[in-house]
This record gives sequence, structure tokens and C-alpha cells, in this order.
Amino acid sequence: MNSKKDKYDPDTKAELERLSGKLSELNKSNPFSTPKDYFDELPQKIKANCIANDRKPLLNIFFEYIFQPKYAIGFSILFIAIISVSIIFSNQKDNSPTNELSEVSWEDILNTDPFFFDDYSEFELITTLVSQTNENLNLLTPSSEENIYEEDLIEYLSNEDYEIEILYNL
Amino acid sequence: MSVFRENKSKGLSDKEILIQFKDKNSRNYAFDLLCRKYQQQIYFHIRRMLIDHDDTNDVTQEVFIKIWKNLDKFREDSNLFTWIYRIATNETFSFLRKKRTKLFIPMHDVEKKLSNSLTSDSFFDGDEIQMKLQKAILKLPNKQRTVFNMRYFEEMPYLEMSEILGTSVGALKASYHIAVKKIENILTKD
Repeated sequence: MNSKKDKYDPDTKAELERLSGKLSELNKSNPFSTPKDYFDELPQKIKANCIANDRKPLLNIFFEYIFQPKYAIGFSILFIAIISVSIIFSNQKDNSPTNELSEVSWEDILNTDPFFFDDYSEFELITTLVSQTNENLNLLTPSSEENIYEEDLIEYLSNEDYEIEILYNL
Repeated sequence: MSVFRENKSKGLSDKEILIQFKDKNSRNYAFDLLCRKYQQQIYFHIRRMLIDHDDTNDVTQEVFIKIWKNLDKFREDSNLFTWIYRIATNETFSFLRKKRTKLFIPMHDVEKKLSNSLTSDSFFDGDEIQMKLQKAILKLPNKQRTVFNMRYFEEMPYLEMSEILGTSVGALKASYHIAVKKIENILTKD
């Protein structure tokens, strides 16, 4: 393996003499030197680095990768996508009128001038009313009787002037 | 005798080192042997390209860390020495590329920077002619510079160079011949 012969031109000296007389006359000795004992200490330093590298936390490796140009664009797009999706979902959740209404009691809804609830549909107001009533009833009655009260409530509402579609959706 | 030939005949054979490396009990010992066997060759191969000792030190360590991580996967269908040298050459090219993009400078400015660090290098022991020769070598494109260093200083056979650099023997010969002519011209002008 190590004794591979160069079948093309094994004699570098002859080749150089042929190519350039000037260069072949120059001193080929190595002009570079190293700090004292450098090569005695290098294997230990390398070994220490190898061990440190083996123990590198996964998070460090992840950050090393995402800052590499070839991965950075991909990670940036993914990051922006995650942020956008989470913003869209959080907005949907927070701005839904029913959510805002959940903080208002049904007594308030019934007693307040309808003008203040212009932004909400009839369906949203009724959904809030029903859910709050259910919550109140749950606090007062045993859970086994929950269905009876709910049915009663729907029956009561059906006697009022609400559209059948709204009642169906309840 | 060149550093290339001198080191190849030293100590345990590559095959013996590989066998010891595969055994978990002697793994560290084998790696230490491998480092000691090739560290000087690899260091000076990189140093001739990067000139600066600190940069060379960083890249040399990086090369051996890569060897440590990947020696398990080495398939022995090529020479271990060739494989190590290929890693060293690729790491050196990659370092030069990173340096250029990091500093937003064109290639000829990298050459200027290397030339300046050669003048101020406290670990350069060469005489005036050797300094001129090194500066002339720095004017060559990276790959041509590598070919010149490997052939001129390390006296490496073209076949081995071909395996390391992934270039045909003919192309390497042409590259070396052109490099020699360029350097001769620069030295004659000065």
C-alpha cells in the first residue's frame, strides 16, 4: 500500500531540472517552524478536543447547523412559518366575539341596551347565554340531571321568537 | 529525503493502527499513534497553504477531530494516508473559502494578507530567497499552489496526488509545469 510506485515520473529532481534550472538550484529545506514542543503537545490537545466534541450538547450542534448558510434559509422559513401560524391561531382565538362575550354575564346581556351588542350576531349571544346558564346550573344541580335542564332550556327558547336554524345549531 | 517519504516508513503500519483503532480497548492508543505518525506532515502541508501558525494549528486540530469521528467508517479501499491527506486538503480549502467570505475580500486580497503574515511571521526561519519563493508561490491559484507544494516540497508521486485531489495525472502534471514556469518568471523578474 505504501510502496506505490509513480509510473509517470518518479524522479522529481530530474523533472524539476528539466522544467526550471533556477528552481532546481534553490534550497528546498522547510522554512516554517513551530513553537517549542508543539508536536509533543499536539496529540494531547487533539485528544482533549475530540472528547469535548463527543460530549457537545445536542443544542450546540443544532445552533451550529442553523447558522450555516446552507441550512439558515430553510430554518428561517420554518421559523417564520411557525410564528405566522401561531399568530394567526392566537388572533382567531382571542378576537372571537363569543370569547369576548364569555366575560359578560347573561344578566348583563339581557339587561343591556341591544345597541351595545350590535357587533354580535343573535347566534353568538344565544350560545353565550346557553353556555353560561349551563355553567350556573352545573354548580347548583347534580350532573346526572344536567340533560333535563338543558332540554328544558331549549324548549323554553323554542317558545320564543328565535329562528329554528339558531336553535338547531345549539 | 523528503518529509513525505521519510514519514511513510516510520513506526506501526497503517493497517496495524486501524486494527488497534477498531478495538475499543486500544482505540485511544491507536489514535495517539496515528496523530504522532502524521501530525508533522499534515501540519506542514496545511502550513504551506495558510502560512500563519495559529490558523494552521486550528485546521490541523480540526482535521484530526474529523479523522477521530470518521475513522470507523473508513473503508480501506483507499490508502489511509491518502484519506487523511484528502481531509487535510479539503479542510484547508474550506478554511480559505470561509476566510474570504468572512472578510468580504476577493482572492487576490487573501493572497496579500497571506503575504503580509509571511513577512511578520515569527515562525518563519527561511532566508531571503526562500521568502521570495514563498511569496511567488502565494501568487498561484489555490489548487495550483497545492499541486506545486505537494510535488516540489513533499516530492509526492503524481498518482498519490491524483487520488488526494481527485484530478487526473495528466492535469496535475500540466498544473505543476505551469506553476513552475510562473514561479520561475516571478523570481527572474525580481
